[in-house]
Amino acid sequence: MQIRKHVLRFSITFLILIICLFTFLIKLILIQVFNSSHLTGIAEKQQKHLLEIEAVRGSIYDRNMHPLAFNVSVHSLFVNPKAMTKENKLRVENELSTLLNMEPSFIKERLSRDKYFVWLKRKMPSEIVEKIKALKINGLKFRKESKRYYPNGSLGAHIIGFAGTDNDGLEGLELYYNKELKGKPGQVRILRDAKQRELMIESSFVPPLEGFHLVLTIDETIQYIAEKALESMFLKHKAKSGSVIVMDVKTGEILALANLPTYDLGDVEKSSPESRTNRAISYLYEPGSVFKIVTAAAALEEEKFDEKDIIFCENGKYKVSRNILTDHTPHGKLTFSEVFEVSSNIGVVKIAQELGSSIIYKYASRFRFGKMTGIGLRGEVAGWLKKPSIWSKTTIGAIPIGYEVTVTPLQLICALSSIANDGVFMKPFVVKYIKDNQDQIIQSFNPQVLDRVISVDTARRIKKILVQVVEKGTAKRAKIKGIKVAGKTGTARKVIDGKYAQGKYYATFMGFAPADDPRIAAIAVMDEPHPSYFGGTVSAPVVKEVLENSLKYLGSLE
Amino acid sequence: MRLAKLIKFMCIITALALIYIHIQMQITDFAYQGIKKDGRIKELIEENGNISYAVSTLKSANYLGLKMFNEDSDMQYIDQDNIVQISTSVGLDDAKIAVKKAGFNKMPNQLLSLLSFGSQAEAKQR
Repeated sequence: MQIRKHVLRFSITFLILIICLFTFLIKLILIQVFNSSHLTGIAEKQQKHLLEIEAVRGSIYDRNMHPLAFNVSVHSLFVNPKAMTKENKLRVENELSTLLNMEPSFIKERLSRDKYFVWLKRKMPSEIVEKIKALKINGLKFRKESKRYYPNGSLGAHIIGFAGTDNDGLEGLELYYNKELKGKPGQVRILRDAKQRELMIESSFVPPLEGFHLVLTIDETIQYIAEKALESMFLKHKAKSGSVIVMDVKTGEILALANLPTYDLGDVEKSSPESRTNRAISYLYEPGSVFKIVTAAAALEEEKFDEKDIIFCENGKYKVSRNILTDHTPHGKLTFSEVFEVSSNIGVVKIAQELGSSIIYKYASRFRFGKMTGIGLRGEVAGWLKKPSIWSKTTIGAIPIGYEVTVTPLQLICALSSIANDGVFMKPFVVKYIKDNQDQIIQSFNPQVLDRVISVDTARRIKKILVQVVEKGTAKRAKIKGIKVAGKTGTARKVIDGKYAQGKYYATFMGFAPADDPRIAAIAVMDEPHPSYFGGTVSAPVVKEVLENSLKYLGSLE
Repeated sequence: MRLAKLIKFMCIITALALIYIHIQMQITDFAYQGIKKDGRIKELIEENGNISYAVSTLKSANYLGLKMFNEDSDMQYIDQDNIVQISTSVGLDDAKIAVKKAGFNKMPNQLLSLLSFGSQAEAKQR
């Protein structure tokens, strides 16, 4: 009896154990087999995290590898409003508003959002970050991002442009070459522990493709020279705006390009659209007498005139259809050369009348007026050059002296450079090459001949005339001691609301040096200088300073 | 025999499993150490970036121009007129001949150089 009782108890206990074991086994099978994928998904979602690795944006250098734009790692501040306590939120509102330079109401709004992640301030300087960390407020977290820095401030602003908060180019070369500079972000799948710390146990890793670097044709020193010269005259003559371009005549490389007003690349929020306009390539104006080089080139190339031919300049008044054309200083008989030296409107128009509209148009087209140069910057405009079929009877008295035609400063300097380069028109460009982190050249931009505009002989004859413009003519203020300068002045009335405005002018001078073996050309255009407004008075000194100092600088490099 | 084999097999499996778990824990441990090192590397990269920016700003044409070419400064761009060439009285070839005559090109006497109180350069030339 006793033994049976024992056996019975043993059997019941054993049975209970077997049932428990069986239950655990079924539960295990349910978890491991039937719910496996669902539970694994939840665990993966909690533990694994796809982290994007930001690609470092490529840098921009000048032709001598001086950095003009590059990225630096900075901290950005974010919060998790859902996980933050009320006390901490209040502390953030009160203590951070001054540090972050934000209104407390703005911070309050951000903290009240029903989200796990909200930016408070992005890309802060390290001093501010240290101060915030010292406050030891729970719930504030930092994330590393990269910020674009421009060590030269406003130097070359219109060429370089700037990148926005998300490292996307928004202006200038930063925009034009955004795809090359930006690179491609990478990815890594990481583990997060219970404290949400990220463990770099990579189960999959796609490395980022770092951005490529741009090496420009711009010379940082010549750019500085150009900007200082422009600023000095701009302030002296109280101009509304101004532009300077410096170009290598033999290669077409742009060594400097400056505009005023300008803006600080490190403080773009304070800039206006007007200050960001690249007037050198996107501002059209009637150039005035600088355009006379077209007529001069046409006349000599077509062999219709010689330098010693005499032209009667009507003593300062000449009727062209129903318009009366005047000269600033009345002249009687002038030689062909003298017509351009003293910039006689009547003399040039008479030469143009002899040549005819189709020839004037042909050479203006050859000099690529009315066409884009293809410099490789956004915002370039082609300007306007009327075809002879739509010329009026007065147009022959306008276009040859730089009216009824609109151009950009870039088109003018390219035309002049072709004369300096013995008649060969070079394509202007601002990027020399693109390279990667290993200094491998990805893409190279070489000097490109666009056209032979005029013969070598014609070019040299025009050079001699342009030297006389500086030596004896309207551009004496462009003379440089010891160096022959060739150039042309222009003083053009300004159109406002469809009419020529009283007392408002564009003052232009463009020149190259040394005239015997031209190396660089420069143009300066001032909008509404006053009280002086002549190209020879306002802009010639700018070009003189730019050419003189640039040649000294380039000479010191050799 | 079968039981013995089973126990042996289970022991091997258990040992392998324990080794595997140990390795996984090591990997996790290295990952935690890596967080600290990664943080330090990022700090150094950030510091490097800030210093690079400071150096680039100081070297920039804008800054240098501001310091060197302000209104009060007498500095100006170098000109060929500012370079003065000075010719020496003794030509370079003559100098070489003079050195030879003085015997400086002779092989130094090793014993003498040991006894010399002159500097190493002088001793070699004697």
